[in-house]
Amino acid sequence: MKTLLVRLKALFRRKNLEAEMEEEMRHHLEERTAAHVRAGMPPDEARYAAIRGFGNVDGLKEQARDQWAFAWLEQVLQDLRYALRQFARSPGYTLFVVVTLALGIGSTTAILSAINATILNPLPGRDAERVVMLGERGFVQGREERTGVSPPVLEALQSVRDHFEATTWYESAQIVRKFEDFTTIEVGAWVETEFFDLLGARPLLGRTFLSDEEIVRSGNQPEIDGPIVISHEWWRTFFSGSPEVLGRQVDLGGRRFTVVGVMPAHFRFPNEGVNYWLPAKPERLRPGILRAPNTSVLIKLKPDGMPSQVDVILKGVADRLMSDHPSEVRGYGQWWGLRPNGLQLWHSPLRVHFQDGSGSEELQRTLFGLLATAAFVLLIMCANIANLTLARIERRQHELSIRLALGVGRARLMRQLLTESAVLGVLGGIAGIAVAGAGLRLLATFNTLPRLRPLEVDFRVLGVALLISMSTGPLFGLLPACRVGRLELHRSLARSVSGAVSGMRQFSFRAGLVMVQVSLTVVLLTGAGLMLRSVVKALNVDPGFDPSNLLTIHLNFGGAQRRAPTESADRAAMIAHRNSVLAQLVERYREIPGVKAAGLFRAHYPAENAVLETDGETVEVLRAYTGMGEASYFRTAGIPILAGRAFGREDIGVHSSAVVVSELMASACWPGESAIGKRFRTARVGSTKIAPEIYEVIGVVGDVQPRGFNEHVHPTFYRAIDESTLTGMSPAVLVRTERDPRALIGTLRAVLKATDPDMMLPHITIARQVLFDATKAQRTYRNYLLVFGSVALVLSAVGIYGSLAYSVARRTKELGVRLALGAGRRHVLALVMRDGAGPIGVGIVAGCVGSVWLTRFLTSQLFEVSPLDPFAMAGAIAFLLSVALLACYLPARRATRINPIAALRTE
Amino acid sequence: MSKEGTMSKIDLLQGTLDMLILRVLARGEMHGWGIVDRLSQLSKNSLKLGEGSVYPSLYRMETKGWIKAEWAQSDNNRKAKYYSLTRAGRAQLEVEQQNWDQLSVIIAAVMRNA
Repeated sequence: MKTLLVRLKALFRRKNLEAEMEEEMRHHLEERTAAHVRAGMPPDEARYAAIRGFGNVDGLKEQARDQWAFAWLEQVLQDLRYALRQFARSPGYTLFVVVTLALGIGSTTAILSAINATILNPLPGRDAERVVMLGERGFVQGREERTGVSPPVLEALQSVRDHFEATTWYESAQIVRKFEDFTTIEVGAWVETEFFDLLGARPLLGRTFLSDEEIVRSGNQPEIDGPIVISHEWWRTFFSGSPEVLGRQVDLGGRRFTVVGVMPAHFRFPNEGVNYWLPAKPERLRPGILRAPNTSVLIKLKPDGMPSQVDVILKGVADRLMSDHPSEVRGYGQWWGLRPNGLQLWHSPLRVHFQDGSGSEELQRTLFGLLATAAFVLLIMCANIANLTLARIERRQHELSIRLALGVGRARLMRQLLTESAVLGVLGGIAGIAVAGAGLRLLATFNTLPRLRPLEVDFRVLGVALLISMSTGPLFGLLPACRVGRLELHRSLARSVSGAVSGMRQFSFRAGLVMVQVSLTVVLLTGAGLMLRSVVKALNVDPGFDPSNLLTIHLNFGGAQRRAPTESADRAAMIAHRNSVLAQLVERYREIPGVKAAGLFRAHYPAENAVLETDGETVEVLRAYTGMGEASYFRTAGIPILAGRAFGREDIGVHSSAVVVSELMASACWPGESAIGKRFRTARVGSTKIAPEIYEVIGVVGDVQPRGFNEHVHPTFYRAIDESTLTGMSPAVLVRTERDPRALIGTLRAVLKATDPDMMLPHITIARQVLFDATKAQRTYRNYLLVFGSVALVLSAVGIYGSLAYSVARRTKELGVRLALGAGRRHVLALVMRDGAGPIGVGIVAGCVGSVWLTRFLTSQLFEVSPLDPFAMAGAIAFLLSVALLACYLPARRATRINPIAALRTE
Repeated sequence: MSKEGTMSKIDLLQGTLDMLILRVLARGEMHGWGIVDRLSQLSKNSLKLGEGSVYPSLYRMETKGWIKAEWAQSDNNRKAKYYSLTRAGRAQLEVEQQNWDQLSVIIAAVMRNA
């Protein structure tokens, strides 16, 4: 220990110690001289004898210094200084290597981190694995589905909460808010007070809820004022992101809420559109009212808890509930009795819930596609760096040989080169962090799943990428450098041989590298090219209608519609009222200047079975309603009528049998025949009871995909809107305008309000925007591919060009000799090109084989593009050939232009 | 003398040289030249002790904490670096002395009876 301290001290007080040592030696020398003089020697001789007797002063000093020095540390510092000087001398090389490293490391890190945060490890905190979601196995529309829990189950779960470390629950909240003259519904969540703590989610500002702040509610609506935690989005929209937001008020459902906390932007739980969270008690229920199982329950297992224990506990709870609520008595028991196996509770880790989210499969494929691209870029980068390092070492052969001759020792030389690689690696890594950060921000824009953790740079990934890149230089550069030391020493010193012979041996290694680079590039460019073509094709899919200047106004009849009267007379009156409102609305809209057309449309759920008259076959179809004539949805949206006709005056009314079917339905029900005149009836899915109405097909229209190629198309049939019922989706009005539809939104709203003051705020969407948003993921993917592809292109081009050009330049002397000996210019050129073509040709062939083999794995990603599509590969080959040609031709031409004597003289 | 040879000779003597220097310093503090002078006197000039071995030894022992150094005025009114034993140094000297005694007995025994 003391040794260490002394050495550390020595490190810092170096000059002092040196001076002291000087002084001491001098004193010693003087004493010795004095002794000699005393013995009778003349002063000069005495001094001379003293010096001789003293011995090797400098050797002494060196030994002393060895005592002090942190020998290896000093050497490292020396290496560092030397490395930095080298970099300063060739800034182009340094910059190129650093940029290459940064791009390769950064992009790979970004993608891997994103995959980690969304797929592998979506939950923050170390205990994330212990969080489990519970629910009931429900029976919805004839199918068994996983639902939340109903109130008695929630209560029963409270009684077993001691078996778990923590329990919490949440429900969806839909509370009314006033907006201009309209009222609108805001989506949020009712959460138990421990909700955020269990998830390990921390607020950006303020706090989450305390244990006794719950708000009493009934029917999902709050009954008193209280605290609220808002989302990042709301904070930005309503409070302009001001830091003074805590303590401000939000009006919801007629009550006033005080903001106590703001959640960070990435926290989107339980669903993507959640705007606020309110603390809740379980809802106050009125007796006799059964509530649907809408409550989601989360539990955190104890550290040694096992899923099998949970099974046992839940079964116990379910059994006890079923005996407490017998199915013969009206109530929950009756409900559960309808299910095939009675009341059953399921549980699964929260992580699985995330991974099963809709769309995550596509996201996974996208991310993995990008990952493959990044991996290739990384490989190309490694090949580039390897090549560069080799070339540089070759160039520095002379310098290295001299240092070796001076006795530096090969180990030291290796360490020097290693230090250079390490420094470059570190610089590249730092730049790579910046690239990764930018890349993640880009990725975050198209990740639309509920998330609990931000997309951030995962430093483990960064470390691995760094390690790979830092080891490439030494690995490929130092192996042949070992040979440099031994064999080339005298040759390089003598400057006699042009290096053509010795260079050849190294050249073949580098030629191999060029081959690898070329083949990697071919594969990468082919793959990226395929994916690009696929994305472009997907984006250009015909949506089946004309989306330009088209608006959709989703009407919301609001409270009036919700409380549907049970008396049939009242129902009929309501329907009539509504239909007249719709008719008026469409008329008034058409009269607005700037509106070209307006039409009515209403989708209907759930799906039904069309029972064909011809053979009783059933096809699952969707029903929809459209206005007729001028108010036709087909007309307004620009959907082509492929056969027959659309609805006319004679087709309204319950007694009419006219339907128009979509193209998909026509080919599904009556393949190969004309659908006109065919008949069918309908039945509910899962039921054998067939409705009495007979429908006859009068026309066939095209299929529609308002959300682009992503949307799943169903066979659909249309009826005139007059006889739609009160349940199901709200009607929508489509409006096509002359110019930008956004300009008319205010007017459309005003007219709506004037026509029916009771209507709630309509949800207005612009067709182009919907298409655009739906394909946001694809477009971002496309952009990413373009960026990656370009990066790879540039990297490859510069790498290959540099390598080949350098090799040719090295042969300047040899070429000069050939020219001097009488070879024709063209002959020499051809020679050079031929030599260069070798590795490139092999590389291209290998690349083609490789890509044929590898692109098989892309098939799932490709949209209407075959993995063997020739365009992508041809493009890659063409690009590489041109680069290679230039790389061989230009320096060769330069070489042949030089006066042979000058060429002979070059080093 | 080949480089190799010099190295091993110094190596062998290094431990012993340390002990000798410590012994000399046990009498009192001394500067580098004084130590060399005294050792030559004591050994009647039969030990080849150059500054090349003494100084490194001094510096090494200073690093190890067996001796400490101070700058002071010498007899001729010159500034010199004086070395003296530390407590650890004294202990080390004892240990070395014992080892040496034991070693010489063992070697003698082997040489006599082998």
